[in-house]
Amino acid sequence: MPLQLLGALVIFGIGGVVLLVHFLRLSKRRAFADESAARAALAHDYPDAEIAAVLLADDGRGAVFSTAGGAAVTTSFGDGWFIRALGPGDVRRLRERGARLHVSLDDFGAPSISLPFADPARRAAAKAMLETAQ
Amino acid sequence: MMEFPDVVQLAVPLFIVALLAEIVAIRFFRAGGAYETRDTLASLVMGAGNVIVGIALGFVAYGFFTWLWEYRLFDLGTTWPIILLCFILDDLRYYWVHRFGHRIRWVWASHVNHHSSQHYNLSTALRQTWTYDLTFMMAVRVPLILAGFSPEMVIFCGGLNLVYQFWIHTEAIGKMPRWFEAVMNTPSHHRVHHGRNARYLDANYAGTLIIWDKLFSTFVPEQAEEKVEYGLVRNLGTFNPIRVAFHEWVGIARDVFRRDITWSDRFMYMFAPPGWSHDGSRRTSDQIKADEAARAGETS
Repeated sequence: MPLQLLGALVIFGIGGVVLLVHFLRLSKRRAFADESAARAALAHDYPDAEIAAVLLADDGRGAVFSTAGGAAVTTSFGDGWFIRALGPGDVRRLRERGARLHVSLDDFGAPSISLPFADPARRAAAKAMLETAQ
Repeated sequence: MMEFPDVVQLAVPLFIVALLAEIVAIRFFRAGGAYETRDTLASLVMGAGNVIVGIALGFVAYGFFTWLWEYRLFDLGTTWPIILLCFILDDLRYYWVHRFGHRIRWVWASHVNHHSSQHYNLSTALRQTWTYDLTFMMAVRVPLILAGFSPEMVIFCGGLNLVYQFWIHTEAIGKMPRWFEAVMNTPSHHRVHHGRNARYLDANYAGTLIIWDKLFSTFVPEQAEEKVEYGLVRNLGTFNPIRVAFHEWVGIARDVFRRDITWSDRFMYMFAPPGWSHDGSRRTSDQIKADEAARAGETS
């Protein structure tokens, strides 16, 4: 197959498929109904995690946990979840920007997370939980 | 001499049509499966990158095989029975390379991106590695070349194997007829392979023929009572294809260059099963399965 034809097939094929998925609205976004759902998600991936406290993000699409071993975080990822238990050094930086808490992780496969906490007290509490993993 | 086409390139139009058909079937005919825009884009870009790497570096494996061909013990020719035999033996070769890909971290670093989607659809089939040449797994084909299967035929059979595996990456097909499920790799068998559930880890390495898994005791059937969860034990948090392609290589480098470990530890971080750690802070799939079995024993 000529390279020009292969290139055109690949480019237009990718574009066409992605546009079709987008315009057919196949993408779903997930959210936790409540804190117990967030606890269950963490326990599913980390069965040994002893969860002391959980703070659900305002949109339900993420949560911050305080655990016996440190902290943990989860956020919706596409229509799946990203879930991580965090030990010392796993959090590189924590920043508050407006009503959001931005978490930079020391993880090439999951560099950053942003969670909405409009209430300054809840945002500060979430930040404090994650500071144990800095 | 028989000419062997590049079947993977020839199959690209088929891949596109099948993807479109699966999407329409999911959206309008309630077929099983799901798509997500960014996940799909990441998978397809990984596939395109694999094609580009194949064009750019294809000469490495081909050059090695043609050099090796000069030292062949026999020349088996290119008759149809020999091509069939080559396909079957190359499928056995695929089984072992795939098994190494899950049991040796150095090889897993290349293969992991194929498992990094939390979806299981035809786009996942195209989420292919960019770094296969770094694994040196081409060496597993040495016996085939030395035995007298020509390099062109071996590469052709490998391409056919890859094309076969495309259609089994779907939830739109439940089970195939019993005889087919008994012999061939199917969507059901391969769903298990992509599972992150403890019971489904490190199972069903087959390319085309599932008989290899049955022969080497790695076959696990799909269970109706345990739906397959797709992805990695620790899922990625990025759709960036560069990060998807290289995250495990970065992980190996970070582990190997730690200051507080022995040379033996460094070796193990490269070649032990994924999840091995010098301090036991991570878990291999064997440990995950054992922990799960222990928990199940406690609750029963």
